[in-house]
Amino acid sequence: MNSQKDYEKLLQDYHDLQLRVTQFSNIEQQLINTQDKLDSELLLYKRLQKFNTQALKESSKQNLVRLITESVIDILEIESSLVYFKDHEDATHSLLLEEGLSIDDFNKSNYIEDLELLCNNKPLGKATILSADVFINYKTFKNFSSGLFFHYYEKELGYSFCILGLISIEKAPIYDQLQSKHETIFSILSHQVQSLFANREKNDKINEQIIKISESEVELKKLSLIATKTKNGVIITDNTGRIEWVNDAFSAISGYALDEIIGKKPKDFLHGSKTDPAALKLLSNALSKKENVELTLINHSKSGKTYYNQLEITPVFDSNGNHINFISLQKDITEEILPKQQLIRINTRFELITTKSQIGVWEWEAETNKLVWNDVFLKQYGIASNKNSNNMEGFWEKSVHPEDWNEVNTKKTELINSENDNLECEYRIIKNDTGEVRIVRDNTIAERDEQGKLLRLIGSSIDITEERLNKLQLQQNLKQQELLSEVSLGLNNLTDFDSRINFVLNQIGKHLNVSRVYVFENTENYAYCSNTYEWCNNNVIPKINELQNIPYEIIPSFKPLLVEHGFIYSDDISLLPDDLKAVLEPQDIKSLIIYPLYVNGFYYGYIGFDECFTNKKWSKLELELLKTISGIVSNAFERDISQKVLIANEKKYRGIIENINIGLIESNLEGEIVFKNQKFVELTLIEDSTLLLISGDMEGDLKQKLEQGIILSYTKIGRSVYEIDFKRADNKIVTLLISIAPAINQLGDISGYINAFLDITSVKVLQKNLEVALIERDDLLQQTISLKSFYESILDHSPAKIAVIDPDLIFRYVNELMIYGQPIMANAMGKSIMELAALHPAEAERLNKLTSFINEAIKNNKLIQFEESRNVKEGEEDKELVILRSILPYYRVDNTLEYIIITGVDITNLKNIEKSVLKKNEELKKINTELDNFVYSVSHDLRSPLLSIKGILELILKTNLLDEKITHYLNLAKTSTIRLDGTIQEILEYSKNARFELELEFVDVKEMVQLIFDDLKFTDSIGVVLQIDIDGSPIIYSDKLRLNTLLRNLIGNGVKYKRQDIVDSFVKFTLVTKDDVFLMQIIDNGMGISERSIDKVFDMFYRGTKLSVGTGLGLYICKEIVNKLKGNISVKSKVDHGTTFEITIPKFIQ
Amino acid sequence: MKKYLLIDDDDIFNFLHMEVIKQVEDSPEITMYNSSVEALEYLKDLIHKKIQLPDYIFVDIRMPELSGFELLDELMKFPEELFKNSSIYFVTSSLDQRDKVKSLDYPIVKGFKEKTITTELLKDM
Repeated sequence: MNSQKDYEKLLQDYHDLQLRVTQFSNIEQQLINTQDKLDSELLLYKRLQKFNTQALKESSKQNLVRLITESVIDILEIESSLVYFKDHEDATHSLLLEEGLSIDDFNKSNYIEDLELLCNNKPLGKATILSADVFINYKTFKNFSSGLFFHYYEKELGYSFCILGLISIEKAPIYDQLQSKHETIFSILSHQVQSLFANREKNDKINEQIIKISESEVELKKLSLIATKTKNGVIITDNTGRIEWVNDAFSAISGYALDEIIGKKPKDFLHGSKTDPAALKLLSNALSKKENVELTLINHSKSGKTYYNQLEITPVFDSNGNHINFISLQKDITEEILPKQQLIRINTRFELITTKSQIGVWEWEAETNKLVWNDVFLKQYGIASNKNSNNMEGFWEKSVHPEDWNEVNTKKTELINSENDNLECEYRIIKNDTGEVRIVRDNTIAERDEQGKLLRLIGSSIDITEERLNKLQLQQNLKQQELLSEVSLGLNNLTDFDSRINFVLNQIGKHLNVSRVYVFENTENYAYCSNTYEWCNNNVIPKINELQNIPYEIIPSFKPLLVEHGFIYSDDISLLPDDLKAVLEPQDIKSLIIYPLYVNGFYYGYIGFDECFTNKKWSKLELELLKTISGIVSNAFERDISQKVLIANEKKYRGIIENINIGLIESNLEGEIVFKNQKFVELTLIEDSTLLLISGDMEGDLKQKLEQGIILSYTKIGRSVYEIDFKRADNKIVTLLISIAPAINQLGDISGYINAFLDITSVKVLQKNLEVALIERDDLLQQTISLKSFYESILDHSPAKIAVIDPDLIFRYVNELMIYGQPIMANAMGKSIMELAALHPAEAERLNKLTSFINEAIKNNKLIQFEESRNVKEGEEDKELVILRSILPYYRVDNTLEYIIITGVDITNLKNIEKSVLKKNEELKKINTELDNFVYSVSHDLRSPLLSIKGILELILKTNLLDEKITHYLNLAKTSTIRLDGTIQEILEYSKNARFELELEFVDVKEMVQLIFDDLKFTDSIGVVLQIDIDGSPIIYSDKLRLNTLLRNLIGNGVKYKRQDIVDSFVKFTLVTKDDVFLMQIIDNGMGISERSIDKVFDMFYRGTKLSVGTGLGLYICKEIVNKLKGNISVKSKVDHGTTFEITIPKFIQ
Repeated sequence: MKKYLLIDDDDIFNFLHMEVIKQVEDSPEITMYNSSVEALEYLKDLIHKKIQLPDYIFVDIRMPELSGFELLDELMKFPEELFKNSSIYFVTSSLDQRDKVKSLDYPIVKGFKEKTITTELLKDM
């Protein structure tokens, strides 16, 4: 509980503290605000102070007013300001300056009007705040929302001014609202300005007066001095123009003394009939206005003599501006004026001539180095103002073309320094204003004094640029025309095309003096171009071999540029597109021009001109020339190509005509043979013919004429065809078809006749043969039709179902049997399998299956067979029909698929037989196994007691208790048991061999032989050695059990029938593996088989010896086994020497 | 002194084989069963009692009730090492090669011998 209280207290304290801090900070803020306010006011006063200081330093009124406008804005922090100072005595001294407004000459008067209006409406000498509702009445101020205004009028000093500070409606939000504070400051500022102006004007007035007074004092002194001493006449009149005083000089000039003329007006006695009335009027006007006047009049002296009087009249005012008198200064200039007038006249004329003739004239004074010139010269040199130059050399150097300057300078210097007085030279100048290059001809005359010292140079300058250019162009034109005619001439005279083009390139190259001229022709479907002709200047390396098969691909901008602009021109390669630059720069090309070549309207290639040493600028004339040349070259190519085509065509047609199987002759109207081809000679054997003109229908005579060796010529127009049998010189008769047609020349006139001879002898024969052949063909057709129906009837009655479909799977033939069991096939002819499937949905699946088998057969190009079963109603019962279908794609000799033959054979019966055979087989197998078990059981049961008997007999025989006779009987019994056992075993083996199928496996024969021998060991094999000799692998693929029986019988025999009289008995087994057989031999050195027996040893139940224990089945079984193994067994034997059995069995038994 | 167990439904063979053994061995301990079922019981009893099994066991194949193969099937249920000191032979008058082949299925069977066993054959064993 305590802590809770503590916490609440703590919280309370904290809140109190926070409140206190907030209060403090508010007070602090107020303090800061006050401070800021004070600071800003202080700043304002400081600014005012500063303004005052600056304003006092300002000497010009203009600057002062400027300072006021700026200060109003700065100090009051408003948008714009305006000060209007109006000088009431001299309006020109009035000033209107503004800051932040846009006052120009057009709206200035509007502003002044509004300001005057404001002055009238607002109290004098008081700063006032103006609001938008005041401004709305003033057209120049209606966009302003507030302002400050002060105006003052200083009557005594004759000026008034007003100051206006402004804030626009637009900008009002960003400025402070104007309030009394602003009013106060503005008021202070305005009064400051007022006193500044007042001080300034007062000072000015005082200064002016002081200057005036001192000036007039000096002036007076000077004047009186001048007036008495000068040779010029001086008249002083009062303010009405009456003479108060004249000097002696005047009296001398005019002949009047002072006392004669005092109080009179000069015009009353000085002016007369010769005085120019216009000049007088000018004089009186000026005097009435009390203005200065200066003019020359013709005066009449007292003696009546006229003289030129140059006079200057000046009105004199006192310091208060009151007009006091006139002072007139007069000079008799009669002696000067006459030659001068003459000179002016000459000059005017001269000036006129130079201007009209566009001769620029300049004059240079040697003494002053001053250069003067006329207007034409100014224009020629492009000098803007008529300023004289004090630096002749500087001027020339600046104006004369740099390349010509040295020569010009040298010549002019020479002229100055030598005694020559004439220099004519032509040079280029660069116009000062436009920089244009012009050519001038300058004729300079040097003027020297008696001592030969140069006084001045006078030059006349004529712009001869056009003249020159025309002349140059004319020359170039001439030269180019010469070139073109040479080129044309060359093209026509030179026979070889290559030398023509080379000639053209050579001519242009030399003419233009370029580095290289070349022709590129398109190759390979316009994708590449190759340099085919080239001309190189002396020091230029040929490039033709490098520039072969250039793909346009690497210069993509080239062709479009060329085709679009009609040419590619560049005097600075570096300005070309990058791809072109990359190709051209390595070739050291500086400047080039390329024109396309068009042949038959197609882009064929291009001709180009390279300059490798300078950035040559190509003139318009050159461009035109090159364009013409490109046209000429294009034409040359076009002509060459046409010619080639023409030649080829001609060759072709000539070839055709020569090789054509038609004899041709052409004659002219006179009947002379113009042309005959070889075939004609071959056909007719007419080598040399006499011509005869025949008119009219000559058919009747034709044969005769031909036989006489006369070539026919007809005046008949049109084509005629004759067929004749013609007997040739070799007595062979040929059938000729002769066609005669007029030969028409280009003008459409008949120029001769063309006779065409066609040998139709063989055709005639053929025609006959054909007739025969047609008859034969009809026969054949008949035969074919009957053959077809024959085969169809065979097919229809074939035991197989047969259908033939074409590659589009449309049935072309269906035999009768096909329809049996498949009624839908009845109307299958002409339909495709797919159509059939669509018509019979029930059969669709079967048909689709058929289609897929057909496709497989076509794909693999082989016979495909499959079985199909279907249910057929036969009478009342359903019968399952099994059909073996064969699909055979039938290909023609050319490997195109012609037909697919589908056959069906009813194998229902076969199937049933197969089923029953399989069933029987199963049964047989079962029986066999049962039999086998039976045989084994029987043999076992038979043998068991036999073996026990045999055992007991042996036991007895071993007792040693028996006499000889019993032993003999027992041995007989034992032999009988052994033989019976042997019989049982042999019967069993025979039965097994006969009944069982082969069971093939891999057998190790060596191991088998060894085991067989080991099994025999304890019976009869004592004293017999087994030898095994196997060549190669001991493993053979055979029936293990049979092989075992076979070898056991043979090895057993070898052991059993050993010779008892020798100790080295052996049985040898050998195995040799041959290509496809195993060869085994069982060799012994036993008793051998007698010759009598040897043929019978393999017979059933044959026993060769009484020693035999068996039934005579052993070797018979061996033979049977070998037979089963598809092998052979043979025997060789010699009594008392041994027996050899040889067995061959195939390596692989099917 | 070697122990022999002869199993044959035909007493004559048991007798014959005993005689042959006696000719070879001086004083063999020979046990004979003409019932394969009893013979199995006997062998099982020996095994349970952990008595050394006979050195030689001759088993006929074709026997009523339990054939030689079936007897071996039962014995094969015991650990193989129990028979490592016993030489088991099939002794048969069967000529069926299938029997010989089948005998190879029993690793504890040493061999397949044709009746009757002779002294030579026995010595070789």
